Amino acid sequence: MIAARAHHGSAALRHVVLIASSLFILMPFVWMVSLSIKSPQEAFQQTISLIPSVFYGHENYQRAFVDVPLLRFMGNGLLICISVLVIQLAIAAPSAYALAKLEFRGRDAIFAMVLVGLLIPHQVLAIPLFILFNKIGILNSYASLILPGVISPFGIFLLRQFFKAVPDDLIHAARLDGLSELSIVWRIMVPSSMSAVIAFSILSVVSRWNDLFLPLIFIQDQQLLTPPAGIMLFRSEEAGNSYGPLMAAATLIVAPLLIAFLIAQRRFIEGLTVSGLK
Amino acid sequence: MANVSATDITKIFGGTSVLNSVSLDVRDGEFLTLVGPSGCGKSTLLRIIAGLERQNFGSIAIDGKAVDAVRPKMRNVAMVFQSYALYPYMTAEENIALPLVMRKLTAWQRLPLIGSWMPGARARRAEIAREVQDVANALGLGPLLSRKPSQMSGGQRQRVALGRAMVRHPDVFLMDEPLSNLDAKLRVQMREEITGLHRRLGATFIYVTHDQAEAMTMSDRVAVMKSGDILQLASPQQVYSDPENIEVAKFIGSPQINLIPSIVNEKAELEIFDMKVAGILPASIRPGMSVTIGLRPEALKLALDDSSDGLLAHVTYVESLGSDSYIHAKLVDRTTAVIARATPAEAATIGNGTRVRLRFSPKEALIFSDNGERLRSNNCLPILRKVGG
Repeated sequence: MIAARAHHGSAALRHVVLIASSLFILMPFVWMVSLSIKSPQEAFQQTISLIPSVFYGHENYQRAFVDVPLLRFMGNGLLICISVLVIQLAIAAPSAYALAKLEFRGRDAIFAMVLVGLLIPHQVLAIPLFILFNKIGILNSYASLILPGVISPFGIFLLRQFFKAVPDDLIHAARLDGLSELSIVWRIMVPSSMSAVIAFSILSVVSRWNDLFLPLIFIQDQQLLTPPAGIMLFRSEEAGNSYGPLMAAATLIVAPLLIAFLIAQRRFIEGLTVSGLK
Repeated sequence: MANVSATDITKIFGGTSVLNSVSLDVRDGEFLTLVGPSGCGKSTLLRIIAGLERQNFGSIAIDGKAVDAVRPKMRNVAMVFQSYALYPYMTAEENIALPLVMRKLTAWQRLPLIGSWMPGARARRAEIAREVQDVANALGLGPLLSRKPSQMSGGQRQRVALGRAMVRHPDVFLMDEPLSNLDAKLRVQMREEITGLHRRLGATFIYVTHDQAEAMTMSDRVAVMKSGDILQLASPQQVYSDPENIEVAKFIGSPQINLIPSIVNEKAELEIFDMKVAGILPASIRPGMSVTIGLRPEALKLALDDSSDGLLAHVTYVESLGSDSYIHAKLVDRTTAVIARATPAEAATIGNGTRVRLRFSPKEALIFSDNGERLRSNNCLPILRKVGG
């Protein structure tokens, strides 16, 4: 009885902590959505209220599309996210297969370098990349946003951990069945590790979609901006009072990610937890 | 159809040798079993024949041609794995079809979505589907073709794995403990099916197992392996009744062969505790040597204690299997344990603690030297040595 009560007590505490921390994380999002449907006057009121007295959402969301080419920005974002993801997977999957299942001299050293790559923040590379891109003349282009992300040490690492768990017999069977090493990667390893591929895809798309750093450094042409960089334009136009449209635009660019995540949530969590165990 | 020969195969893993210059000739159409305890190198040898692992020294030839530089897929061998190694996200049909898809379709024709629009792809796909259907019918897999491996039982997965091996009509089938994940009843049934398959296909089968019952019942010849060496390669009957050395005698046969220490006296007789046996020793044996006598459980005949003939023993346990009974007993030194096979009627007259005499015909005694080598005398076992030799 006492044990059961203690168990209930700890469960309650656990929930309180979880709810408090999730509220803490959710609050800015809730505030963003709330601001996006408030009038400019109400947005600057001293009192805090989540539900606006006048629903102003229509005007804010309309201005989000009219004041800046938001659809164009989202198109840019989509193009860049997909290009980066496709190239990342095309490089990471064969690399991960080699590191997980093939035996060659220097394999461990190369894997150690991948791990070191995980530790390098991409800001550190910004200036060398800027100089390099300037020299080869691809500054202010889609390529300058795509190329810096195409080799993902995290992708290689995550897939390698999953590929290691694929039984060797499966690869042996595939070799006897006539598959080349590259066919083994695409026909055997990747489908066997779909959870990891999906988890990695979500992480990759989210970080690329939300990235503000690279567009700010490499892009001058407004037509090439990605959504987060694009909505910065609201700030510079009329100082301060277009928070409503800004928040509306922010809500709009977060929405696709939220929807994608909710759809793939289970596979995503599977993908990351299994890699934690192995 | 093809014969397979391995010549002086040596394989070293991290400094330890797992195969010590092993040579083996498998005849065309033969069912040969590699049997031995785990770690004896049998699976490694099979993988080297398949080309999945490279030997450090030696050569593999299939159908008379050296294949050491040939990739696994070009060796025209198929393999069935202990874990079945089915592709988990493909249906049974896709699993069986894959070897044909990889061989009969071009890279363009294999592309998803657009592949089927490539010229000739549809006709070839239809041909593959027909062949898969034929194999599925032969194995009774028809209704299961659309299932994934996770929706099938162990026996069904095993059949799919066999189907995937059969579908491209290889010259050589390699099987790596294919039945060890099945339950006992299914294992017996699949043994029969695999030997039936061997007869029908007429292909060369090399079969790896640690289960001596599989080795004895299925094979034309058995290679008994231990610690990276082939100890004996002969027919199942011969490795049982005429083992080359004590390791083979111990590994083959269940219950295990009885091993009884013995000494040669100055009259050139064997002294086994209180019993003396004359006339079965090879000429090379000198008085004073110690040897080990091997006697199969069925070679020991029970007699009651009142006779003075045979080895005196105390029964410790009577194990009844219905058709037979095994009498476990200790000899007079109270440490040497022996097992004798008896009929249920004989077993009914004795219980724990009964003193019995165990008799045997000297012809059935196998004599081993201290280093485990078989000692054959010229005038005994003439009949047995003919078998399969």
